[in-house]
Amino acid sequence: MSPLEDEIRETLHSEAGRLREVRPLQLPPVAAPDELRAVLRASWARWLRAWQGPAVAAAVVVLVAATLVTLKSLRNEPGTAPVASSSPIAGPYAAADAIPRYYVALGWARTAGSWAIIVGDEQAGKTIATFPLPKGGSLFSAGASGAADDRTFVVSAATSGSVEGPPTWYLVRIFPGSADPVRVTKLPVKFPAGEGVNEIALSGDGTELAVAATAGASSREETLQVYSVATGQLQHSWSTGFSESAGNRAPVADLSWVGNSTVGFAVTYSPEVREQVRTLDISKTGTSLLADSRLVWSQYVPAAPHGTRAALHACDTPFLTGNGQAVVCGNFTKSPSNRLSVVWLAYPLATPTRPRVIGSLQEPPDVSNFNGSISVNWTNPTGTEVIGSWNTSVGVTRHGGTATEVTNYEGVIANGKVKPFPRVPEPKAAW
Amino acid sequence: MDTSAPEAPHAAAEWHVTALYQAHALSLARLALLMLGDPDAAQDVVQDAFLGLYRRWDRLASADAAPAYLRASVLNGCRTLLKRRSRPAFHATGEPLESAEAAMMHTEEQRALLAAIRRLPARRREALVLRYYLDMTEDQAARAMGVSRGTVKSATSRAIAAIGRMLKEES
Repeated sequence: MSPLEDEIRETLHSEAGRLREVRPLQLPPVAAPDELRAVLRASWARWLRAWQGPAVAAAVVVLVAATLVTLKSLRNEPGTAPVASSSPIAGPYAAADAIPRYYVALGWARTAGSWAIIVGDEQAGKTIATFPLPKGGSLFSAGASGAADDRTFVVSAATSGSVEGPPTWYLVRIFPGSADPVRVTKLPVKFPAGEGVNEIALSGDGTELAVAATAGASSREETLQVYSVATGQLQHSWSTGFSESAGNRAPVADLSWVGNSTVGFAVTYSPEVREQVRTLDISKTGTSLLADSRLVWSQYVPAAPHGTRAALHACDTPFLTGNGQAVVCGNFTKSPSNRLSVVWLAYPLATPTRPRVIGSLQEPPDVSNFNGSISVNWTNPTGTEVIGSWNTSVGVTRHGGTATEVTNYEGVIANGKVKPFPRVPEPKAAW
Repeated sequence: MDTSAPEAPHAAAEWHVTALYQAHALSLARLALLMLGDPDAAQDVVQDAFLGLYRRWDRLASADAAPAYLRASVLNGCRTLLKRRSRPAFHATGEPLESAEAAMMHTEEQRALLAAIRRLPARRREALVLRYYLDMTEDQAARAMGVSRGTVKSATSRAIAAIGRMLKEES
């Protein structure tokens, strides 16, 4: 190649490089007879935090209690590193691709009259144990996450009568077949006072706990902290301000572990939904959540123009898979005949423009909307199997008026299909 | 509930096209900028290409074909715009003015080279951009331009010769 050709090549690239961004895509609006849900997603943790306040209506309590089940057991897959001696894991890892059998949830225990840690066997469809939490009128924040062995979980819960108290941390271990199958002990996690837990994720080997938190209601400082499960000591903390995500209570969420030294997390900016999945190498130094992390996936959904309906929607709960190769999330589609379908997708990081359908399910014709997120609660390391949850809204006539009945579903998504868990879903709430 | 595969409503097309836009819009706009020399016009051409894809999504053989379709649309859009510009206009417009940012980004030699590239006939400029910006082979560029390999070869060599002459005249 001649020097002139080299110069031409260099000049063309230099000229092209001066265009650094493009304006948002403007597609023509599509007529939609029904108002679909807002583009801004809200994970269950955020949903819970949305019910802050001492005066919680009964219907809302029922709603939250039913919803809490979906907080359970986002199991994190093992890395290649050996299990550390401080690991609370009791037994061998479950097969990496196996659908987890056990779950831990927070729910309302009617008999105890308090919130409780509920440990269940999804396969058998039964509750193994219920541990009441200290009595309090409201559950201000909650998180639950499991290790790769499907027997070790960490739970955080803040209950209080009138004001938000500090969260209490619990280690939940399951010993199937033993006389004492579930053991719950408190963990001495030194979580900063005044901060609220948005979401937690236990590392695959159960030694470390990643926590997404908000420092105060007004400061808009989002932090990602990593604690030692054995000692409760804070090992590292990264933070960032999120003033541009006004209205989004917890823009940092959907935590996952890739091996035992990388944490994946999603960031949602609003009001235009710009979702990012980033990875943070927790073995490196740094304090800035954005500057010290790496962007691995993004999706942009323009806000609907004023006075028009949102035809686009962001993919809910984008989780990085355990192998770090894909992002899985939930979404919905609408057929020309207005039938809604839930769909779970895997976006390979190598080819993010070509998402793969993990599974989908067309809803009955009377389902008019989805209520809240179409969530990923667990995914296998390769993103081919997911446990997901979703809520449908059906219009009903009640007491001479119209109401919306919301039903909570959960199921296994794989091989193009959605298989709801074998239990009859109950209406969560009606209003 | 039945478990049929998702249908392909407008929402699916919007979703795919939006994802493609995120992935390819900037690189396509850069390609159009090199062809047109005008960032606003470049973005207009790219928007039109994506709008066209959105309208024809159902007829697209496969999602894999979308990037190639978009690139062809952008090149077509640039050609159309350049043809329009070449016609005598009531309000004559000169060459796009260089922005202050562009002036800062380029060296004196690069500015002269860019000016020379912009003075090339459209087809020669396109061949040059495909070969030296997109690093296409002669065969690939020929397919993208819808011409023979020989045409690409001659257009490229004439473009380089013309640029050499223009630079010599400048100096």
